[in-house]
Amino acid sequence: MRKMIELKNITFGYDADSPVLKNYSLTINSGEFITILGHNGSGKSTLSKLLVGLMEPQQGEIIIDGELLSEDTIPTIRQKIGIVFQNPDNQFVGSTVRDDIAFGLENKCVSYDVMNELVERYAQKVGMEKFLDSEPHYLSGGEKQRVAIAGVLALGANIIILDEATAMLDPRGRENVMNLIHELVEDRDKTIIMITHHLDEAVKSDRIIVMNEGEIILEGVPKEVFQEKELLESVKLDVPFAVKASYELKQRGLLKEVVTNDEELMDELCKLHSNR
Amino acid sequence: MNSIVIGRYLPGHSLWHKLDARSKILSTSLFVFSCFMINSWIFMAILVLLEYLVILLTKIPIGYFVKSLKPIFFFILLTFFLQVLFNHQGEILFSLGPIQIYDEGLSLGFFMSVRLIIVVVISTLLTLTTRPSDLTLALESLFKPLGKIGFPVAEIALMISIALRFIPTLFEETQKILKAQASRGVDISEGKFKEKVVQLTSLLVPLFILSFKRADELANAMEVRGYVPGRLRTSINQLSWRISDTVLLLICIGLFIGAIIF
Ligand SMILES: Nc1ncnc2c1ncn2[C@@H]1O[C@H](COP(=O)(O)OP(=O)(O)OP(=O)(O)O)[C@@H](O)[C@H]1O
Ligand SMILES: [Mg+2]
Repeated sequence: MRKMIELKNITFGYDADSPVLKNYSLTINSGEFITILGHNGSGKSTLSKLLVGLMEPQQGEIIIDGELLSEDTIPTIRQKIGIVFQNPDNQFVGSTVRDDIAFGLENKCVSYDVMNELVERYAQKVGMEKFLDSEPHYLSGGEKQRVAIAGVLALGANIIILDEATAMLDPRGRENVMNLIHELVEDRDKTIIMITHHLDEAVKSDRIIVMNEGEIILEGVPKEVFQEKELLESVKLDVPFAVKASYELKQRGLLKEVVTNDEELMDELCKLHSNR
Repeated sequence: MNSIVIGRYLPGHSLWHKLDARSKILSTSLFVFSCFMINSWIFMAILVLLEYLVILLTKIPIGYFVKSLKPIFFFILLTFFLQVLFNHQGEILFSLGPIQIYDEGLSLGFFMSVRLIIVVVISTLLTLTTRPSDLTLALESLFKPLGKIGFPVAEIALMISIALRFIPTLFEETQKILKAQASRGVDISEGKFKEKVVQLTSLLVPLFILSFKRADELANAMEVRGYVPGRLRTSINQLSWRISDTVLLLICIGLFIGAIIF
């Protein structure tokens, strides 16, 4: 498997004596769907800002797609990596959906015809093709986030970071955006890093990384990570109901392992019932 | 939100909507200049008539323009009464104690009020019928020559477009803060002037803090999408100048020359 992102012994702090990330190392492969979990202030956004070159680590190296991140490589690396932030309003630059999807392309000096084609294609991809001329204050938060994703896709980035992109959305908007993310995951041509503190959003990821106070405290496939209910709760993460219930059943010797979603829980309960 | 007309855009498909934003800006400016230069009622009647025809063409309800006049209503009244009360030219029409009203004062008062009204209406018409992105693109294109002497035309155009885009957002935020403060017992609309000033800070401080946070996040979002100030960019919006634009501009140049001569 090809390495897409390598972080080597990163140390970073907003002021010198209290580092937010301490000797942080992480490798992410091409095409992986990674979820980074962590409570408020655990350093997730700091990590994502380092990855897109908005800030520079005090120590350590960041290598993206084989290229060392530095002042000189930032422009080329920004073509490969796109980020969607938490607040839908504060990343909507254009005065219409069309303008906003095109913003990155305009910066790249893409020609008028190519730009229009790309904007229409990706507006369609995120289901916003009917809103191309809409102004942002007529859109819901979820729609704005979908536009932001279209903007990243139109730029041709092969790494997409979603920094709590669903955190400010209502349940419907969140579901819409999550469905879109899962659709992108299924296409399997992008490396996707999703940052969240909702464990239920992490179920479908290839690997979960749990952070606390700037360090990785747990890492593994969802199934493995969810077995550690106590550790997760000790870092103030909200464990999904299916995990809690199956954990209790496991404690009582009724189940062999913790399940991650409601359907599996149902299956296990049905099995238990018929075996009785 | 619905009470704000200034800077708003109403999508439409009239001939006027389809005109090039550059010709609309130039013509509107010429119209406004002419309006300030003339002093004959006949010429004013022609301008009012032309403006009325354009409004008919756009199919925008007159109500919108009435609303756009609301914020400057006081100003119009002030102009009117200043002329009527203190312009002592012509013959006395009417006098009551110290107040004397002269016929030319009265006529000039009306004239200036009409002038203000049609200037505001024509400017409202421009923003109501032109997409903000076209407006900024047109400004950018019209001011391009200034770029040659180092004036950051493209940057200022982008700044204007972002400012316009954030007006409704900030307006909403103001409403939210007002409500939040009201629920804590702060009522900005009541109390003496001094209390009002103190209470106004309870709106402005959070508004400023939140705006700075917004600006910071927006700058990050722009930077990661490859924006570098001062570097050449292309645009997804294109302006296209048609014959109708030339015709409009010629008419307005004609008006302007007329206004200079008469
Ligand atoms: N601009 C800044 N200046 C100084 N300190 C900061 C700044 N941004 C974040 N911090 C601090 O760095 C730490 C990590 O913050 P970070 O935003 O990375 O956390 P996070 O995991 O993204 O949290 P959240 O879930 O709230 O988004 C926090 O203690 C925070 O107070
Ligand atoms: Mg964060």
